[in-house]
Amino acid sequence: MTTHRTTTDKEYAALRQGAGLVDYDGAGLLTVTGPEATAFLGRVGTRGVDFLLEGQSTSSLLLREDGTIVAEALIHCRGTDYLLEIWPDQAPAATAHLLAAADGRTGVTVEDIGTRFTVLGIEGPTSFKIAQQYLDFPIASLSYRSCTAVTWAQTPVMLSRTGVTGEYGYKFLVPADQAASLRAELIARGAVECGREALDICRMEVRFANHESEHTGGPVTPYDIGLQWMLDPDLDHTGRKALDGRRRHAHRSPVCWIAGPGLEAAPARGTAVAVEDAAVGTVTHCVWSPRLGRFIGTAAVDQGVAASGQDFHLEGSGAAVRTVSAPFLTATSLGVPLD
Amino acid sequence: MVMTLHEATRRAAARQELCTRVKALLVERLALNVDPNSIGDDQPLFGRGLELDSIDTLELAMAVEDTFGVTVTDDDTHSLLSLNRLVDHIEGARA
Repeated sequence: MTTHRTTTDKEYAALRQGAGLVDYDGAGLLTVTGPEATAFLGRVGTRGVDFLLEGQSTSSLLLREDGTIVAEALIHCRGTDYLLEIWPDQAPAATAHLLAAADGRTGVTVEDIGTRFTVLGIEGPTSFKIAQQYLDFPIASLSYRSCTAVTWAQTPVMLSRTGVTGEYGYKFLVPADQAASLRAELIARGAVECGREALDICRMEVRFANHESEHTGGPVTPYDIGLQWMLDPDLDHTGRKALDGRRRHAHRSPVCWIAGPGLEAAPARGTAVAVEDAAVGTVTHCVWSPRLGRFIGTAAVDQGVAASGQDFHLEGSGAAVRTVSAPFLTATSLGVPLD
Repeated sequence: MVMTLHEATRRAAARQELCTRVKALLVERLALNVDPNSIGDDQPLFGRGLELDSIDTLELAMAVEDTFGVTVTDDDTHSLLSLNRLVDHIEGARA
């Protein structure tokens, strides 16, 4: 449905300096209802949702019994039900996973509504000015990780404040047959259509972990990509026992790195990261950052050398990389007041 | 700059020790229901991540000053974007 794509650099500029429009085509959307819905989500997800009030949202990891990640779900509490939103690349597996988990379970109903609705996102330091036009209250009142129902063109639409670029970010959940109209309207209001490549660069720059890309060739656990903080210590969630067992074993730690100016091509996943002649880890993901003018990425390295501020080199090219503290850059929105 | 494996190991140990101290400080002073060891070095402190708020910021700034003698002012917002950023700030001020 994308119609006005330009170049990744221009789309990146829109996301970092203005407002970008992202079509989350293929996003997983499921409703979870019933008296056991809260308990169900506290079992299949790594974070409890019993604290959520209507209009609040949180994110939670969906794990397999072996502790590896199926997907990250954004969970919106809508009062009488929960709406789960899954990143498009993870949607098929997560949808199957959730439907299977609910199969035969009493007191909870999981419904796949992915084909009935479309998710349109606007992200960037000026995106709030566009989103404000759909609200009848000051947008500053819509806190991060919250959602509200609005009416647009006589159509009920859910507007949430979420995002993955570190900038202000909002999403519209609109009936699929109305999505083209809303998209056109958002573009007319100044949002620039952006593809996933530009979005993923921004995502890396602010270190929103990318489950699809950050790995060494196989399934990852929360510890592998630094998302152990998403494990609720008081929750007996799926995969908990396996993760507790893994914690006792030595494992490599995720670090962020920025390449020296001489690196001309992105290192492939699995490229060895070395100190002197010792390979101490491997590259797990890499993108070109237009703002930093460097390749930036993540790596999994031995715990004994895992720290910010380390000087390593990439085996093969010999290119220098330095581990840095996330986020790689400070989002423009941090200096933009919401008014 | 080329680092030797010995230097990298020594430096990482010192950095990890400082990160561990800051994580323990965070949990203790803000009374968080979190195992300090489960806090990631690049974990965001606000918004997502630890989900601290502006009141927590003041408490955190006081705790850092009390413990490390390092001031965190309103101009140091970027230093509060992650645990690692905060540790960078402490390391830089003490250098």
